[in-house]
Amino acid sequence: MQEIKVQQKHFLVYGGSGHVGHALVCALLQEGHKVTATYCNNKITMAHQNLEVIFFDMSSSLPIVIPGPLDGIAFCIGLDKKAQAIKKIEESMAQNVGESAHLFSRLAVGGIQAGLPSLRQSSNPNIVFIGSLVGSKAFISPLEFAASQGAMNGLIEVLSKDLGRDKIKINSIAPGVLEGGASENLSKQLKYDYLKHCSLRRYGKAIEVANMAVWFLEENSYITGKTIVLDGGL
Amino acid sequence: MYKKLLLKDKKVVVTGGSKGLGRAVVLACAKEGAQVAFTYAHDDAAATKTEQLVGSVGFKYKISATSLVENIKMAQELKERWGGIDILINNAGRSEFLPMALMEESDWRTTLDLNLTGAFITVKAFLPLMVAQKKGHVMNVGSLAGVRILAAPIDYSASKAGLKGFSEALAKEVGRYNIQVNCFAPGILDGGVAMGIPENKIRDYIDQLSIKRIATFDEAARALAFFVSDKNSYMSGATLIFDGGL
Repeated sequence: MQEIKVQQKHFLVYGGSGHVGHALVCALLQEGHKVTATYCNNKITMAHQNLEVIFFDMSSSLPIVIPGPLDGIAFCIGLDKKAQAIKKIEESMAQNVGESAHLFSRLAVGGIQAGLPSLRQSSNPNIVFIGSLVGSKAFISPLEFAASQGAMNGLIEVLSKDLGRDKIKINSIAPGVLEGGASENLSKQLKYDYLKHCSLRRYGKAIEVANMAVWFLEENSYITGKTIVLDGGL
Repeated sequence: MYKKLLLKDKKVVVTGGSKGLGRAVVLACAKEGAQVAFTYAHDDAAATKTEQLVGSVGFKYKISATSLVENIKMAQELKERWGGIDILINNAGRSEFLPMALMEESDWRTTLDLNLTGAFITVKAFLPLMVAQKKGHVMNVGSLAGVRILAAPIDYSASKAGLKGFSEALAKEVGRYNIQVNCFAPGILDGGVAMGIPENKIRDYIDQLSIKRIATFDEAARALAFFVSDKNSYMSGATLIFDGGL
């Protein structure tokens, strides 16, 4: 036997046009699932019979409501390029730090609230955030981003207690430096240091993060409130 | 809709595979397409039952996880039979519910010897096969008792905490050979070492869980089968807590 029979599921992916988001959408479609994916700055151009594409701006759009059963929500939202610049604390704006954490938390809470009625109709509902290593380990990064990721980890722990009554599992995947995507903005020195300390001596790939997210969305029946670090052993 | 097998043609060694979580792991790996060799120390009937359940893709070795000589012999036999191994799952362990006051030095040493030193010995025996092929995954089965404050036996908790540190340091050492090392830390499962826990304590534990139930061996084993698969290729030195949200 080469394959196992599985049931088609429906997932909502916020940020489906980003580096990891796109990989996740492709991986879910490849598994045969239905995907509703949102984009903001980069339009999703691919077409697939199981893919629905929706414009969504995290700072102004209302959360997406999916009629009927929804098996999982993935949040793959990143910061815009301006907010990815690494600054010293003297150069950082305290207001920006708070705003980023606020944006992420608002999207998470609003997105989950909007999705709850549909998630409750699933036999094994899961929510996955694609976060970052900087929310879990000390790593040079923009203060805004680090603050937002740390806040998300706390939010996920608390939400897991609340959502558990509906059998909804919520977890975060925290990748280290990846090939491509936002990691392209890191300095050569920082990337060199990362490789020096990474046990597997290489950067991660978007598909490796996507594969983990697919398992959590499709299969996970018991892990909740956790941040899964994918950093090659930093 | 069909899904590809996670462990197709992988060669897997599971220690303590005759019953409980170990048996479930043997069966889950086989179901995902792996060939599985499992070890056990005492219970011949349980091991035979596991071997019957797993069918032609699995077979047993009666050896102790604490014997380096026996484990090296098994590694050599598997090298001849399979050409190498891809995945080592260190699951063999023991627990006895003794408070500190009643625990003898011999009890402490027996638990540490099997739960922690056993993992070291098995890795010592099988790691050279993975280094030679420059690929592999070592998964040490720890416990929630090794990462959280729980009312668990001190020898058991200490041994499982040791496995977490062992996994982290080993990940650093062998990552250069493309070998991943991780630790799987389940909370209370429906059987095995949990059988000695008083019912009122189990109820208190479930009350604290987000999921409000104890996991089955089968769902822990299915999760473990994913975490040792090639789909999980960038995780190393991590401890995966499988506790239903304590």
